[in-house]
Amino acid sequence: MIPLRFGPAGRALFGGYHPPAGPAAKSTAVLLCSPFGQEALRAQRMLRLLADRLARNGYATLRFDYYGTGDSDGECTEADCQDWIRDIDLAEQELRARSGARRTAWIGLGLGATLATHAATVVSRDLAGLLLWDAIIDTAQYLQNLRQTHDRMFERELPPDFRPEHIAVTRQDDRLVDQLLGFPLTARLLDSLLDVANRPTRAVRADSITLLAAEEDHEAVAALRAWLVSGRNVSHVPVRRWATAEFDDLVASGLVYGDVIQTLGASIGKLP
Amino acid sequence: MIEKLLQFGDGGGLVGTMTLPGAGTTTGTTTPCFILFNSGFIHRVGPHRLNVRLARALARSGAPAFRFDFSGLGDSLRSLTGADDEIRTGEELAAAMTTLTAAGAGDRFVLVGLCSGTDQCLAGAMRDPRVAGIVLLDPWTYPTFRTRYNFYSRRVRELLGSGRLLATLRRKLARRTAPSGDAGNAAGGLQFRTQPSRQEFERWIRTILGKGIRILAVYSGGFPEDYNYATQFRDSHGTFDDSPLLDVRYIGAANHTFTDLVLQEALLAGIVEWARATNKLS
Repeated sequence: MIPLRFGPAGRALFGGYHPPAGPAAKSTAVLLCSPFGQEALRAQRMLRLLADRLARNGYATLRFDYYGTGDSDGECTEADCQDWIRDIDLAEQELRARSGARRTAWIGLGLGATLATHAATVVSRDLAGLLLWDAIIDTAQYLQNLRQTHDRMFERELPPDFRPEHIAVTRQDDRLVDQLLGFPLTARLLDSLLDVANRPTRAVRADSITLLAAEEDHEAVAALRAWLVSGRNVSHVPVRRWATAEFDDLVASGLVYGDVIQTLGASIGKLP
Repeated sequence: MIEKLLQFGDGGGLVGTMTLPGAGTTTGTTTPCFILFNSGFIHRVGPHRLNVRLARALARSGAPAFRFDFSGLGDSLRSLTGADDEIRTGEELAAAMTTLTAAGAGDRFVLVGLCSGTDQCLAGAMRDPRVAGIVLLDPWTYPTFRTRYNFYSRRVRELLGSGRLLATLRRKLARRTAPSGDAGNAAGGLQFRTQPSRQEFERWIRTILGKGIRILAVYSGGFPEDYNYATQFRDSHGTFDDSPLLDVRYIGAANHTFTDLVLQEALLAGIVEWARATNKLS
């Protein structure tokens, strides 16, 4: 793995580039799009292992942190979903330049899947594939899940008279409307979340779209199909649900879904 | 402020990010570089990205900082040496310091760790003469009688208020009398560290202070059964002869990983202020 910083000075993004192992590099490279906030922290290890696996299979792979997140420049309060969609485009350019690959496939997780879908509507060349694991298209439900996990964490870790008034944060910084699992939610970010998740996509420029979601989430899968107004070759592959509920456990930061990594590796392997 | 990625260790398998004060920020020749450790399995950005924000806040005050992943965590490769964890992390920390000196970040260091990261702080301070200070966020706790009294009296009040006291007592009694061998670790969950005895912990603190190394210890309210009032450290361990090198604080409203944003700010401001006071930063 080659750690790197790319993008304009003052707005540099952290990337982890995994060059393809062995002489038989594939002509398709893979870009990984992280989820947001606490979910991104908890997914780091799994995405790292996924990238290792793809690289071993001959796919140049890049994972990266959006502006204001992870190890990239900036503060979370300075960014919104539109910035992050542009970051995906920038990361793809970096991946193409480093790998020399003719085509790319993207894998997105959680909010990263939602952002990747929007970014895939404005790419200059069609993607070989777009793989979306638990894409978020219901902002209210997404925020409610995070809020419940946040409250459960405090309920478990602190006695009632010690629990902070989470909303007090808005009195410290008038840009904030809330905080979720240790990350700020600005009014600007909230507006952009509502926009990207609830607005149906334009035509996605990908040869195939794979929806990875739990078997029991068939309603969510149907909603995703409808959201992808003009997606081509959309298929559903059942996998375990990305468990937000487990994020209130510190140990869960090491969570790796080996079976889903295998499924993703196999799905990428089937791309033309 | 400038950020640079560094690769070091055997074959460059370890990855870290160095944050340097920008032009125009006064950096004394003796200003130490702050090294920020992993907490548990969380990669070098820290819980809620605390390490990134602390490194940048320190750099704005004139101190360089470095956050890195020990082998097998975050972006660093797994070590294949088979060395014991304590020896391995000690060697990796030493390699980080040597790399930082070569990169122009000076040759004195302050180690910052939360939870399991405090183990590396204590071990580093005991072992390496380049360590000038340590910041311990939720280090080992040693409850006193008052800790127990505070916890259980609060718990009883809570249960009385909710009318659940009898049900809870019944459940606890049933658990105690159940013929199961798995109750020993029920409350603690996954255990991957071994707590030193009180005497051992105090010996370490005394030795570290004896070397002239400054200590800032901050306890959260995240383990209310084990640490729950401001003067507990003093009650539990004594004053260490009122050493001016030792500063112990308590942020009772914070959970273990300082999730609340207001308390994150308080924590970061407290560390930066301590760094300024002890290192004469700008």
